[in-house]
Amino acid sequence: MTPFPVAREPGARPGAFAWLLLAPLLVWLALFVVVPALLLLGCSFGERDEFGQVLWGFSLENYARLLDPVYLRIFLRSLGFAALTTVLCLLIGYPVAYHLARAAPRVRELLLLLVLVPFWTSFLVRTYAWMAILREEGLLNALVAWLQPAWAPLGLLYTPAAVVTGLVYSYLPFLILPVYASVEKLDGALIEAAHDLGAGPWRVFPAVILPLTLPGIAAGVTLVFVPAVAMFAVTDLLGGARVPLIGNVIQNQFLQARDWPFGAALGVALLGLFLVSQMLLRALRPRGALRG
Amino acid sequence: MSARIELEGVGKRYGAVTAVREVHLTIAGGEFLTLLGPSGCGKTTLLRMIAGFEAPTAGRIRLGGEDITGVPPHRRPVNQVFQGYALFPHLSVRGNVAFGLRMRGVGQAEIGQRVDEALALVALQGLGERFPHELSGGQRQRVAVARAVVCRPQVLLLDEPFSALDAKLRQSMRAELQALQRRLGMTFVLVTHDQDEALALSDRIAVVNAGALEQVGSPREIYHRPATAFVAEFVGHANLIPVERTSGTADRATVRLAGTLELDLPAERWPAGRSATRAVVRPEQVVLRPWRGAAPDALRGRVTAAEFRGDRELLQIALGDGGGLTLTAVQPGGDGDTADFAVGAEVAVALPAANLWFLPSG
Amino acid sequence: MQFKIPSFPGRLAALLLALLPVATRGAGELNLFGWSEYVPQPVLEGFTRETGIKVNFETYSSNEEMLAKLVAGGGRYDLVQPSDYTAEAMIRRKLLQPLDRARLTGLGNLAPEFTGRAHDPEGRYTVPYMSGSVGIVVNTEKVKTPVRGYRDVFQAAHRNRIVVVNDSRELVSWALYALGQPINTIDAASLARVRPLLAEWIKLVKVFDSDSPKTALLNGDVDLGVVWSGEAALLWREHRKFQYILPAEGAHQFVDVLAIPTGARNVTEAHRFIDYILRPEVSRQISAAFPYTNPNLAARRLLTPDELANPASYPQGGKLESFRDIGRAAADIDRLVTDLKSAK
Repeated sequence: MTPFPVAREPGARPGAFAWLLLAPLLVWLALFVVVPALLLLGCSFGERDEFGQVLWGFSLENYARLLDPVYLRIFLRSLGFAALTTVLCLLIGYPVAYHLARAAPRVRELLLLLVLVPFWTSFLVRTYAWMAILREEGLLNALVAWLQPAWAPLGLLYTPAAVVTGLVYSYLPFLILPVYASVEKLDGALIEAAHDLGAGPWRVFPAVILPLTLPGIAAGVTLVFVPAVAMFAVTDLLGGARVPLIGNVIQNQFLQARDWPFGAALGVALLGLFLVSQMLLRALRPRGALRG
Repeated sequence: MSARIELEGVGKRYGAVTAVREVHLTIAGGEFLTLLGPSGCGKTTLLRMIAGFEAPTAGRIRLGGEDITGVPPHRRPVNQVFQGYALFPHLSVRGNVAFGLRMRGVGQAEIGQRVDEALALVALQGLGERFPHELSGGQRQRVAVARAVVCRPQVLLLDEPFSALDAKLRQSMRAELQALQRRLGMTFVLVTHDQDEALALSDRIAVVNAGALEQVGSPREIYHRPATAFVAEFVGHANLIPVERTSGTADRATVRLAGTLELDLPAERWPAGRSATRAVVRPEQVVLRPWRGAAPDALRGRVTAAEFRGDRELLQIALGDGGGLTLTAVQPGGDGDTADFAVGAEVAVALPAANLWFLPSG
Repeated sequence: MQFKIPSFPGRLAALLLALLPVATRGAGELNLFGWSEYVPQPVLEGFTRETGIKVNFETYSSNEEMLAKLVAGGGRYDLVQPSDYTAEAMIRRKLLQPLDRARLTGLGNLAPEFTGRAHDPEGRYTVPYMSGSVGIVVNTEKVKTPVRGYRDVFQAAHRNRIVVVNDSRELVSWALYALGQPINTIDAASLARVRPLLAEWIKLVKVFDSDSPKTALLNGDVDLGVVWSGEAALLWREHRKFQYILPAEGAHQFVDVLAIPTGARNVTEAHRFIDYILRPEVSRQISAAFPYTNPNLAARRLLTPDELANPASYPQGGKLESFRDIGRAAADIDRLVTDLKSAK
């Protein structure tokens, strides 16, 4: 027996040593993922007292309240906003990621850096920067006024369009990076093979490139869609908090309405939604593309 | 269904680096031609220019008399079996084979029929619904071949098609490919660095070195009458022995091998216009006898190493008075437990004039 | 509820901190839990310089947030800064401990109208910190029609030119005022009454912002609004075109107080801090940074005439009223406003 049983049959059960290596991750997951999720679940069955404290118990009332048309409508609207954000991120991000991955190494490094640079500053600062751009006396309106004074000022800030702009801006890198990774892994010989077999430049994409980068797209879409559904800061700052999304409603339950159990139920519902959609996505994935 | 390819002064330069220099080559319709050479010699670039993936920086490429130099790959009636096969992992075997037909807008019914035919051709009936990762290496190669030939190209290009297979499988796949080529009568252009492959499969071999053609000829020509030292050494094992012409008449020539052994041979076997060159003798053409004293037709040598290979035995022989020359010789493996020529034994090395080939150059 | 600064990361961080056990806090320290943008940094530094007591300052952006963390954190805070109606509820729930008034030498500096109020009639638990109101601010260069009350603000003519604080209870109370209803009686019937009016109003609003409602006004994205008086005072300081008006129908006045939670570990230090705040020259510093209404009369005497003339800090007249604790009805209000906002 070697002290480091590294090479194992794929699918073999990990030995004691492997468990030891995994332990920090497992502890971390248990402490910061499993325990909070269970707390949330437990809380969602509770009730609030007059003062807003959680009374633990078992009641389905909070879940019954989810069916209130007020919250259902907000749920649907949040999904719509997130879906629009995801589609726009995909339309903008995919070509960027594709050309990034196919660029010459030095250019690629530089461009990749540019994609990542915004992460160096706080998300909030970047959102405030958008306010400075979109507001009535802001940069964009100054430009519009200079080009065509009759159009100015455009009421851009505090509109749903501003919210979507902010969401797309914030989450674009989360789409670009996984798509970039999958395009980079794409074997150039496959594209040549497609050309060789008679596929012109426009047909190679749907026939070969798109299906083979599907895992990257799926990862990117998940990374954009999931946080976009629950986002509340952008709706507040760029949307003027006019149209509440599900993230705002949840935030309100915890910080304004002092109704933690209901907030927890909303959170659990959101979590359930993501789990179901992930399982669907998994089930729908084509057999051959699983590899790669 | 098979067309002639003409390369007219085809060259490729990348900036200051010349990958291929002015290649003139005509490949006949239905011919099996192999581009053979070491890695980096430019043979793959040559193939990629025929396929259309690289544009030549000089010269023209014609296919069936038609200039295809500027035609993009998807419009050339040429298909390729890629190194590593480049099968589409997201498509089943049928999907892979049907790909080229779909791209060309062939009708569904015809696609079905032609895919069935192609799969039958490579003996893959019944595996159509598998995915590439569920196939063995040999099966993958067959899919790659079927995928390419189903389009009925005028030329099939094969880029190191056997390199992903283990030695045993390589042998049987080779035979299969050759049979297939005979049956289809299609022009095949194979790229390989493996001389065995080239010798076994080709109608003609073009040996490529440093971006240029060293020699083009049938496998026998290439092996027995190499044009250059490079070809002699790259294809099979060659003993190169310095030789000079000492005298002779119009009919006969007298030459001296390794400075000692005098041989008499017909003058037409000596390359015209040269006073000295090198003689090529293949290991199996070296004749060994136990040393029984000096003989006029033999050099004196000593066995320095022996390598038993089962059916034969490889011997290294240091020539006693040959200016430090070492020859490689092959002997039958024998049927006993003891070698005919043990390490350290003195041997008489006979080099019959009929077994020698004199390099016309290099 | 006053200046609520961009709060999301802060809130998250605080939320995580609240879940962690406190191990390192000892004597010579004060764990202060106060509103963001409400306690000037120089005041904290001055206190530490003078007493040697290290101040651990954490902030919150709503009374509800403070309560949630206080209840969850159990004894980690020595001094909190609730609004009057929250303090009232906390006293009722025994979340605050009585003060040792003998240790607070500066109590005499306070104006009488800020002591003995309904939330703490005997002044046993709380000491006023700052006060303010929620009123109308108008950019008089853009809005030429007279604005006197809520109904003047929420006019079709001002559609998409209005900013209001993003606070459901405030919104409901304005509608109650406009209908002549009591603002501290909230039940299904009163909510049903305000619903149609509020539905109209919410459609007209461009920005809901509790953290910094002045920003939209300063940037010219809106022309008028209903905001915290401190925000209005800062606007007035910036430009005199921003006028503050106490709504004729009545306005919410809040008094934010200092109080010591039950179970606080550094009670002595907490008292010393309260007493430090009561000093006129310290209190004056707070007014300079955050121009709310200062309840400290001795401090007010140190203010410049310009500061005293700020109509948002020291409004004239007006019908002012405190919020009272409404308990469970907070959730009903939240649902109503969420419903109306999302109905757009």
